[in-house]
Amino acid sequence: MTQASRAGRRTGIAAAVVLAIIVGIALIGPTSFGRSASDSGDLRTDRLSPPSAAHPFGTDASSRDVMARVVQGTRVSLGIAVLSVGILFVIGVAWGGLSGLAPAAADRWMMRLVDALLATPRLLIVLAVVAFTGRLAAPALALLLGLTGWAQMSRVVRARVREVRASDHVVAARALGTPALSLFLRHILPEVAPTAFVMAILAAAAVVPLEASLSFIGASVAPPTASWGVLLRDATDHPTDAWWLLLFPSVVIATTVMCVNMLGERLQPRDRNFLAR
Amino acid sequence: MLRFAAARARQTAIVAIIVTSLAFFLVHAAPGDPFSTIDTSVESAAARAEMRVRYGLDRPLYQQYPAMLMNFARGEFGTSFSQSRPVSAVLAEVIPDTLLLMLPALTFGVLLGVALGTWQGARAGSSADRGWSTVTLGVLSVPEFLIALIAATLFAVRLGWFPATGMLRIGATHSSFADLLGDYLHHAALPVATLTLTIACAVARFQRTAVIGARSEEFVRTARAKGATDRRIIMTHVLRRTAASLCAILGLLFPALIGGAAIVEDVFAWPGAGHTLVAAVSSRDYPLVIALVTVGSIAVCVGSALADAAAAWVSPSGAVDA
Repeated sequence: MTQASRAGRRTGIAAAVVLAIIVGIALIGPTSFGRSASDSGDLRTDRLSPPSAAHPFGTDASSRDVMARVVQGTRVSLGIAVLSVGILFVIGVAWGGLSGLAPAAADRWMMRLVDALLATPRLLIVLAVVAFTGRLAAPALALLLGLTGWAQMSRVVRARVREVRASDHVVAARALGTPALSLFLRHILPEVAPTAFVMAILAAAAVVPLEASLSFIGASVAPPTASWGVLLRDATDHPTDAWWLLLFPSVVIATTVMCVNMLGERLQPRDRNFLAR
Repeated sequence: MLRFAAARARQTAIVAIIVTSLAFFLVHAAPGDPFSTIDTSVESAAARAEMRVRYGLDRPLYQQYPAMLMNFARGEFGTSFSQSRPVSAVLAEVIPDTLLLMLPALTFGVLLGVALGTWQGARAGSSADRGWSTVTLGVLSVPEFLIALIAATLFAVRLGWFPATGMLRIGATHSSFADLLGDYLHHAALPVATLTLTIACAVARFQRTAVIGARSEEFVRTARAKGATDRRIIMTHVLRRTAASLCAILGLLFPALIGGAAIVEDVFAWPGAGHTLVAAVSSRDYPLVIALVTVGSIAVCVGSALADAAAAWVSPSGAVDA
């Protein structure tokens, strides 16, 4: 093992550990720290107080504990990310698998739809929908982000299915008369799965900033649910007098997405540049 | 080349139709419509129904959809609810302003990204390369609006070096062209720098990978055997080789770029299409939203087609592959 790949392995493990800690804290939730994300403190004394022992991340304009709000925001943002990636994973693998096994003409049209979806600015489509419906509940938003985000997954899965389909064991299984469905599920899918999981990680790294951007401009989850973007929106009301409102949510978002990206990069096979396909 | 252009134009048209259809049907599949939030105590239910009829929302989807496509093809986007003037007039006003932001950012971003990526690729694996890789990954891990927010807080609000919002001084009359240009540059510095930073980091990561790939190819070995210097190998042979994949990657970056730029515009209150879109969403100005989303999607399609054409043009093998 070369020195560079050993360093890569170490950063991969470090990223996984940091991510596990963030997810763990989000799962436990703010109340177990004896804090509430919604309770206001004393409005006269606790409003916009800088970080202290009582409030390590300070308090906001409604005297709420910023740390509790960040933990709550992490729950919401990561929840939306996990749900939407789950949705796009299922659609992407199904569509990519079908396209990879389909005859050439069907394959071409299925991939043309994928090309169209890839050319679609996701943020604009989601904005259009929100303009029509008003703010969405978190599961509805996750559904929307999943429905608009499966193209990259299906494209990479299709390419991999085409490769695997030509390999000896699949040809042999087909020659033995294995039905199409079990051919896909038992002989092709296991080989496609690692690639699909890496794509899922990369999709998560893309969806978190997207959701943050949407909630920042007020086009995401309805209040009082606060995701990361909502916290940052609140921070813009106090650009000079409350730096902690901007700093702590920013650090948590950046750390989370960076860890997800590093993990995805670490798990990605060296010889594949997924996006260049 | 002409056949390539025709085939690509046809493909772009198909993609554009699919994209607008997708926007249309997703919007209509969602519950509610622009008038469902109107307060019925102020506006009667009858007024709401009348609004639906006026904007054709009472008709079935299979009638609304072709009607919309025909109107769009004729350049008729309807009337903006919030600005009470034709949507096309709004578009004519905001699109040039967006270009004044995007074009410099795209130019600087690509130039900087190619320079950094090539420099890294030429010394791949060194500690300098690894350090810069961490920096670019870090920048790409932060949503663009957050970079914009930090830049605005730091350089505009705290230090006061640049204005935080707008494109020109409000109500100012400019004595000369130089004055106008200076005013624009002063306002554009922060938003352009923000977008340049993210574009440069994305491009640098792809360029680095491409350079590493090209360096292990046989034509590089041949050039080296011929006695070409490292510098000459990178500058003439490797860069020529990576130009095509760079163009292809740019085409893939456009969709995310347009979305991110819209939010950056909003943070700096830049009077372009993105800022207008965000305002239109919050006022539920649905004709304006649909028009801006359509124009944005078509811009992406055209951008991708141009990127593909450029890729074919710079490809050393001259392969024109529709």
